[in-house]
Amino acid sequence: MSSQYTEVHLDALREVMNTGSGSAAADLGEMLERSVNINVPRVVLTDIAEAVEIFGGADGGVATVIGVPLTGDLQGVVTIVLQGSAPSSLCEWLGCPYPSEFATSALQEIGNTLASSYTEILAEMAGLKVEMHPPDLATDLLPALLPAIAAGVDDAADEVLLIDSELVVSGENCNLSVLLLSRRDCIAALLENLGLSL
Amino acid sequence: VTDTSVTIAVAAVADAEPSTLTAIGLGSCIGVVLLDPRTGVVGMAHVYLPKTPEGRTSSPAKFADTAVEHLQQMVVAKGAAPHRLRAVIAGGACMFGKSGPTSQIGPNNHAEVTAQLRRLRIKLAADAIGGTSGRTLRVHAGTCQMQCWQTGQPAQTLFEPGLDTALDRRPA
Repeated sequence: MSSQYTEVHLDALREVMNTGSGSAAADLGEMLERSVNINVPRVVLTDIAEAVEIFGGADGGVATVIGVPLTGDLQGVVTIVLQGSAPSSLCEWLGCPYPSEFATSALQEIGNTLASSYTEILAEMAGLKVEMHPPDLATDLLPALLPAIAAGVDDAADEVLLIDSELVVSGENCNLSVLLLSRRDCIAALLENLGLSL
Repeated sequence: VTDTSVTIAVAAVADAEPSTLTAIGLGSCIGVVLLDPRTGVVGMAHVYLPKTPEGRTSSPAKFADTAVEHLQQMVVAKGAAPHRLRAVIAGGACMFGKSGPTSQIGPNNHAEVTAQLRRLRIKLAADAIGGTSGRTLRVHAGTCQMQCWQTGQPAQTLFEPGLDTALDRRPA
């Protein structure tokens, strides 16, 4: 389904996201008061069913998913997926008990920070006006969460831009990924505005 | 492999023990099961959204408006009798709370699935719908027993053929 995009498009997009991850790492590092590095090893354009599989599918286990809705020139949801010990580690670094109500708002704030960094870079480079909305957070089986959040985007929300991230905090790996769930036409317009027209 | 994982937009059928069909992590999605208690034929579809977008004809199991009839055809082809079909459905939760852009997906899926069951005159035997937790749904071919559980909770029996349907199961 994504055959109209080539590796060249996705590589170029990966470079853009790597730029975004620089400011995301700086913002998150300030929040955690720790050194943070973010690499973007791969960018995949896929559909929601495959995206669930990439995260382990039915065996993906329990995850915490934070969704930051976008409106304006880019409609969709920036989605942060935390798996394994990532939620508890992030809370520990923030000095916040986990699980707790504080943990929920702390993780929402982390999601918001990361989503802002990526969105601002994307919007700036693509010359788009994008508005961010307050984050939603839920913890459950990953296959229950990702489709639920993608389905809110649009009837045809089956195009997913998966920006895999390697987040390293004070030398420790943190199992965190960033996705942009959007519509096919929105992602095509985004690529075109980035000078990556098909 | 006797357990088939029914992932999003997939429909599958089975007709004898010890085969099972399982949808893991139904959130706002709905797991639709059609079963024939006498033959033990079962089918499950993992429905993602209520309506097929315009101009789309692929993935009939993905959308509620096409999934139920598609599944009916599959179980009948596998040997189920149309007049004996019963439905069991689970899912349709509001994973990110009862307000916000995603909150209507589960209820809309539920409404469309039940409308399709009515249209096709398939009796709903049991359901586990709504709430804010994900569910896992499993059906056993042959016995038609079904379990459903919410994430982190123990499995509960959602359906098993009762006395009347046990009589249905006697050889004719």
